[in-house]
Amino acid sequence: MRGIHDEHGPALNRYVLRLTRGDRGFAEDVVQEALLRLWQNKNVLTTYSEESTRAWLHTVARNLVIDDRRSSRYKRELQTETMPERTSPDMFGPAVDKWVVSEALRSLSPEHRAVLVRVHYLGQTAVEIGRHEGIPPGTVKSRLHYALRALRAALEERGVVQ
Amino acid sequence: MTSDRGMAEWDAAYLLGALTAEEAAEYERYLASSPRRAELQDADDIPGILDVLTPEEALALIDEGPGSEVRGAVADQPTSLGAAAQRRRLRSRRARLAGALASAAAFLLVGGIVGYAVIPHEPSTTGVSLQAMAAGERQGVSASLAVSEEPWGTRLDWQCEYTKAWAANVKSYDLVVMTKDGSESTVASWRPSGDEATNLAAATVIPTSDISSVVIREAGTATPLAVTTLT
Repeated sequence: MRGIHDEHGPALNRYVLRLTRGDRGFAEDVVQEALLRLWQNKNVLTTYSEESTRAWLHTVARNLVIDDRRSSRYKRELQTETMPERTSPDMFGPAVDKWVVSEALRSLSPEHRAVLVRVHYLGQTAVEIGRHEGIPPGTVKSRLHYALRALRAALEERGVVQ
Repeated sequence: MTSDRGMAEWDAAYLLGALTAEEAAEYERYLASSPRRAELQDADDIPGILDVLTPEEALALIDEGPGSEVRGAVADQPTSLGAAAQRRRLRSRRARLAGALASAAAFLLVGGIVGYAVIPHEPSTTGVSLQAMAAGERQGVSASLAVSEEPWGTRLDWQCEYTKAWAANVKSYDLVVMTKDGSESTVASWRPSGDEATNLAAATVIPTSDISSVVIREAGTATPLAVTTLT
């Protein structure tokens, strides 16, 4: 368990802290729960690559945050008569949104896509990516700079941002 | 000492949280002393938009080539993200501009929520929503899968793309269901033809609640190429 924590804890913490809008107490609970689930899941630990393991772990944490957000939103709905911008039931799934964002990411060069995914979803730092790819951290930062611009243009093209 | 030109390119790394604490502090000092405007003030909603994808789904995109096909039928649908963008445009832009320079760090904290709370969802056109499978031990197959519980057992729908040359040239693939008691059942097999296979489906008598994971393998090998774990 300690090994798992040391390997994945810092990146997971960064990722969850952002999802929870800086709520450190809640983020710590989510991180501990997600790490515990990983530790209990021998199948993931034994068959997944290191990156897939981290992606699985971050996905579990993301779902924990979303579950909590839904339940607290539900509580608020009971206390108020009006509900602006009410969302549709969850059963439809965000298939179209996922598709649009996936297509925007696919339209980037493999190098740009890789740095964005590693930083945003896997919580890797420029230094870690530089080590992984064998390039200077400064190059990673520069690549991120252009990758985010390319992504913004791709999202603009698809009408997601202006 | 990092040049100003170099520092100007740290904006995305800062926004996305890729800097170490020391680097972030250095960048904030640069921002405070630089007469130049921050260039990424309109990118603060991008982290929230990216959060529509799970990390597993995003990781599955890393090894795909550029310019994947566009599936026309879905492309024409109005997306709820588009509607969300419309609402965001109605908000005061001045508030965001002020926030960008005064407290760029806040971007890291506000970005995560936007994509979720405001998205009304369209039903998927096929009736099932495929979710990206996690990458296995060897890269080359990028797949999406839906596992549906049925009165008679479990229905599996999937599609896959062969992202490396070797993957389009293997003899055949197996879709293997692992059950919680540790046994394996091959529920489907197929031959690669072209760069992808879509609309694949299989049925098994195994109840969904008994399935621990679903794996794509090259026939005759034990190396997982794509994996979905059920919880």
